[in-house]
Amino acid sequence: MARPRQTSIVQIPPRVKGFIPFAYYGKVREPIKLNLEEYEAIRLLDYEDLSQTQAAEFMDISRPTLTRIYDRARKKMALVLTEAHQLLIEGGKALLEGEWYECSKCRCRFNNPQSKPVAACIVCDNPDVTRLNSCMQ
Amino acid sequence: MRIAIPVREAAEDSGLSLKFSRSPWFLIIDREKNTRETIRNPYAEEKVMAGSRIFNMLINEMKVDTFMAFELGLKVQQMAVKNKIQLIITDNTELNLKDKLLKH
Ligand SMILES: [Zn+2]
Repeated sequence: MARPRQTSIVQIPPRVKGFIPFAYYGKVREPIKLNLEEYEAIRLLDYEDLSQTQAAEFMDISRPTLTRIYDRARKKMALVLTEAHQLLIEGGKALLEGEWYECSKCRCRFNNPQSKPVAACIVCDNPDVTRLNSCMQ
Repeated sequence: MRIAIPVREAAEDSGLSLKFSRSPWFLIIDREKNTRETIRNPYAEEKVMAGSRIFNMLINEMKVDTFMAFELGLKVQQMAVKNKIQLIITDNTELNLKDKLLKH
């Protein structure tokens, strides 16, 4: 599938849609939106310990672009941590690698490597599955 | 469908290991034959290449076509996508896998 320039690739959908501050009693603050490519930059560089060159290759973007995305992501995380914002992981210009689905019942997320039609959850057979690729854009 | 699931112990009701390649045990579930077996991961303590070694063992020797895990790790994930392995990511690390995956 052709994709627009500067769109990055995200390997696996994020585990959650966001975070809420714990034991914060002030006025609820504006949520900070971490987009998919910012999430992936933090995951690859800080969780998987890749170099910026390796991470840029994984995400299929240039290294300067990755650096800009990562800097933005860290700024946002700093705001979340110090000012007790809620964090939403959504949006951005990233594409998930392959098709991914989530089951509303067992909450498993699964891919579709053979690109066959997906009618139900492959773990529990529940027909209510959501395609994640579209709802994460 | 033959599924490999990283588990913490060889016991019947063991929960998921959080890391795939370093998991001490794997539960192998065959949904067509309705069987389950637990195998030891000989590469769990390996310093390097644990990911590609366990990947090859599961695919070539154990004839697995599906991985179910909490977290796969980059190397395994990359090889799995390349080899068109079915991936299932679950957050439920205490899930009673046998009931969910074996036929009733
Ligand atoms: Zn399900």
